[in-house]
Amino acid sequence: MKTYDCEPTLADQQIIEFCKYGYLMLEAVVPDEINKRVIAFCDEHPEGNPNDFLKEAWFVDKVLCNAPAVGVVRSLLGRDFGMPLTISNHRVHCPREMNGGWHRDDGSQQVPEVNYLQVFYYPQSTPVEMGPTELLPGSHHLSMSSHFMKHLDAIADAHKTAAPAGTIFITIYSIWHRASTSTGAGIRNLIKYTYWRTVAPTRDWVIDSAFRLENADFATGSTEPRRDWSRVCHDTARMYLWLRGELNNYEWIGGLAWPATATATAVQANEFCPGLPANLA
Amino acid sequence: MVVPTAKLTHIRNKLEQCRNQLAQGNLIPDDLQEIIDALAAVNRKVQDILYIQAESTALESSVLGMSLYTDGRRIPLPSNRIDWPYQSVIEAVRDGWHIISFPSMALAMDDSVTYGLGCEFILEK
Repeated sequence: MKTYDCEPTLADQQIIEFCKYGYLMLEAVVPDEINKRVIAFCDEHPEGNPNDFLKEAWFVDKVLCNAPAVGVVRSLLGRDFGMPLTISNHRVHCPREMNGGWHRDDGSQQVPEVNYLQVFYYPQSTPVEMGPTELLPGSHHLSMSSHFMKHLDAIADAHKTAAPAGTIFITIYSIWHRASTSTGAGIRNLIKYTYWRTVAPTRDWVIDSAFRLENADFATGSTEPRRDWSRVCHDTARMYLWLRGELNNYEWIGGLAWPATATATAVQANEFCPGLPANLA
Repeated sequence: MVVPTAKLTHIRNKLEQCRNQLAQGNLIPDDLQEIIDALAAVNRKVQDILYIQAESTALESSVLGMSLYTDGRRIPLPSNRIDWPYQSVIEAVRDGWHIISFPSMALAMDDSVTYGLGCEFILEK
């Protein structure tokens, strides 16, 4: 497996936001001439796994090593992350009606570890009419086998990833997602690939000197009615601390203790913060 | 059993058509067979199913997710929650739906894991 390294671009609170919602969108980061070239290549290789993309230096350089995207990947997976081994294309002839279809990809685990990232790329403009992938924010923290979600359909607060051409979005592998109904006409390509962790997790992303762990915001507000609020904070903090390589120092004591945000924001610098392990302060 | 108005209208129209054909002397057995088939379809009982995932086990709690099957087919629902046919389980009950399955309390036994999409009710008509 080839590896790659670059400078990280995310700071702590951005890492926490990713842990909360399970995805991050980078709109129109791939140049138009590359998008057009990718679409033409997809037309010549309409198969579900056009792995010949991996032999194309322009694709590797401008898409797989796209600077904004790999900056995020580097932040989350650490240095010398592994490059994609396969390329998939969810190529859809629109219009197409889709009902249900919610799933987590095969092999999903209910764990705080982030050892790989699933990445999606739209080479063409993909408005709602072209059936963008629909994600359920925060669902990577919800345990359920795909076999038990096939009857689900409309879900409140689900997010359609409608986006301009050249958009890349980076997800936690186990996030719930589905294809959505398309009413437009034409072909919609959705390129999909995975980056891999090769080193132990550590806090080597962008360090914001103003960031204080006791005041970090782990809550999602009112947009996540599926879990208790304290549970949301705990799930987020657990994943974030795993990424720092410090999960073993954390024990959730519950109540309104850290990482529950209301308590955390009320704590002043150098004050005792209930629930925050001393060696993490 | 309540027969859908659309099906009754279809049968009535076919009968009127047959009466006219009879008067004109061109009624054929196939025309009558169509009506026989339509009547058979009316008598066939198809269960409508409504899945509702709610925020809590209370019937009044807000709906988080919904799937609807009528006449043996899945009915597409709008993306926006406010456009869904019901905003709570109790609204569906008031509209004539019967609850046939309540949220599984077995899932509440382990509160260290959050399972699925909330509390699922299954209703039928």
